[in-house]
Amino acid sequence: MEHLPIELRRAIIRHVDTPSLKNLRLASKPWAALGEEYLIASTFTLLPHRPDISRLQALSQHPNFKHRIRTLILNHGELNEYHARHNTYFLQYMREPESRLEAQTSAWGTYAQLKEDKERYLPTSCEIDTLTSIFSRLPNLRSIEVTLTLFPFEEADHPELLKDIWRIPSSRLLPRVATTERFTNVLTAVASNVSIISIKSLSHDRLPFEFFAQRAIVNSLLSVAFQSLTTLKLAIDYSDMPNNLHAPQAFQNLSHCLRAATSLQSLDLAFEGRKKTDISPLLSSFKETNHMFSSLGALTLKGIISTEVELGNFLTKEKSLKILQLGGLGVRAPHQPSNGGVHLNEGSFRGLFGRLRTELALDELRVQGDLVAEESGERWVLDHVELEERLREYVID
Amino acid sequence: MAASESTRITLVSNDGAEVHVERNVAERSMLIKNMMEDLGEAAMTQSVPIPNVNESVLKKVIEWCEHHKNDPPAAADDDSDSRKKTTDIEEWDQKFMQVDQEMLFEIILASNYLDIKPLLDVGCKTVANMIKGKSPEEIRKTFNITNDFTPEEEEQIRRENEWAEDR
Repeated sequence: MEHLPIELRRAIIRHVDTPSLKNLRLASKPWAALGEEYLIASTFTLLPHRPDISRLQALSQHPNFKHRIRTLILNHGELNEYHARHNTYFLQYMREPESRLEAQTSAWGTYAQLKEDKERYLPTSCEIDTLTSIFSRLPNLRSIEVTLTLFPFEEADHPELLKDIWRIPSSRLLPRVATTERFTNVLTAVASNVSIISIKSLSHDRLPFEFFAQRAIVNSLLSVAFQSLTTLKLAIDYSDMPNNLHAPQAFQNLSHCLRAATSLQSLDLAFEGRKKTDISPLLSSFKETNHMFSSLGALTLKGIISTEVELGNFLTKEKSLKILQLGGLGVRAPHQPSNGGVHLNEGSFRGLFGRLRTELALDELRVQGDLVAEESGERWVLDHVELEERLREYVID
Repeated sequence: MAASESTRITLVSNDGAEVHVERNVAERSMLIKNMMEDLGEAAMTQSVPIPNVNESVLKKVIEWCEHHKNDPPAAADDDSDSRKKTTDIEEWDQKFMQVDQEMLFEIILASNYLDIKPLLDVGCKTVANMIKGKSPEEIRKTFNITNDFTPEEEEQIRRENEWAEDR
């Protein structure tokens, strides 16, 4: 093997799993050097119950590894133990009492340890100074994803039962203050490193709306982090209490951040809550500032309520749009109907779609979720993404 | 096409041996396939030199091509830098690869030279499987690798290894 040319040694290494690669690297210096490139994946995932931030810190200080990392996934998923325990009961009521008890004892036993670890590591995983110094040493970082909905306990010895419960939305905790603070820290760290890193893609899958209700000065700092984005995906959790209190300000700030992302090509904006969120303040802010995304090719709006005219006015201004999707699955347990759609409190979908067709050169107009036009009585509930032209059957209540 | 499929061509190994082989079998090798296309009719009458491969290896490679002559063409190469975690090898190939190490590496070199991607993959997977589950010392023994680390260097590699996830 020592006589093989280097490209064939590489070809072999590509088939070697990570534990074996580590041992191979310990065989000799040439193999250590060659194996180095394959040791660290370009996507680094931080899980809440592990000291991953120290590992990331170490990588960012390594002369070669720091160039490898392009994507960070910050998994801040936490179990809402109270609801989760209830949900376990419903998941298992068909099973024999004995096996049910056994699965539960084992799952919650394992979880107790994971929880202890999470409480040790998660609170310090997003400190602003640490993140700022790490980001300053990751020149190829392009993408940051924060998730509260991806299952965090995926290792082989983690119980299946936890995975099943996780699928039920109420099992997943949303600590509003901590989540807001962590994302603020992440974006502050990005904003203070804009001269070094250029983040192209950003996503958060459960961001409390109050994130955007922060003081204007904080917000204008955060908006710097949006400047280089080409892809943005936000699922915003809107809760009447506290969000009704500061909605006007928060929509202004959200608008400010979105307008800062001048090279945005793909935007996926979802609102999640007990009811659809009226995005009128956002749309009128775009209108007042005469804003237009110059290169936006793909737009998805979910969980919103608006009017035919207002939504139409906004959308038809975005002349670069090629793919538009109205509505999505929403937040639901596996057996529930989708609930991430779009409602119109005035006008009709027929009118809206017709206008979009004439005024935009769309390649695809897609729809999903619960689409309801209150005035016209049109109504669909679509679990899958459908093309609008397939909806010729206008269902009227 | 039907006529050319049964046509036999002559390959000449670097030690001068002539090996007769069906054209469609030989064309599992992209190198030979391209040569045939370039040579056109002339390829039928004159022999094709394979200067980097000796007779025993060439015969072994042709044995593989013979068995796999009806395989569908390989899917387009994916991102070649990505790590491929599967090392499953079909049974016939496993038996085929039960050769001494020297022959194994000769096959890898020949399949690379002749541009037979699936055979190269089988070869590399076989070596990867030989590495799997072995300690660093066992790997050194198996492949006759000299340990050239100072204790500090070894410790540094150990530390780096800890930063990588085992999956």
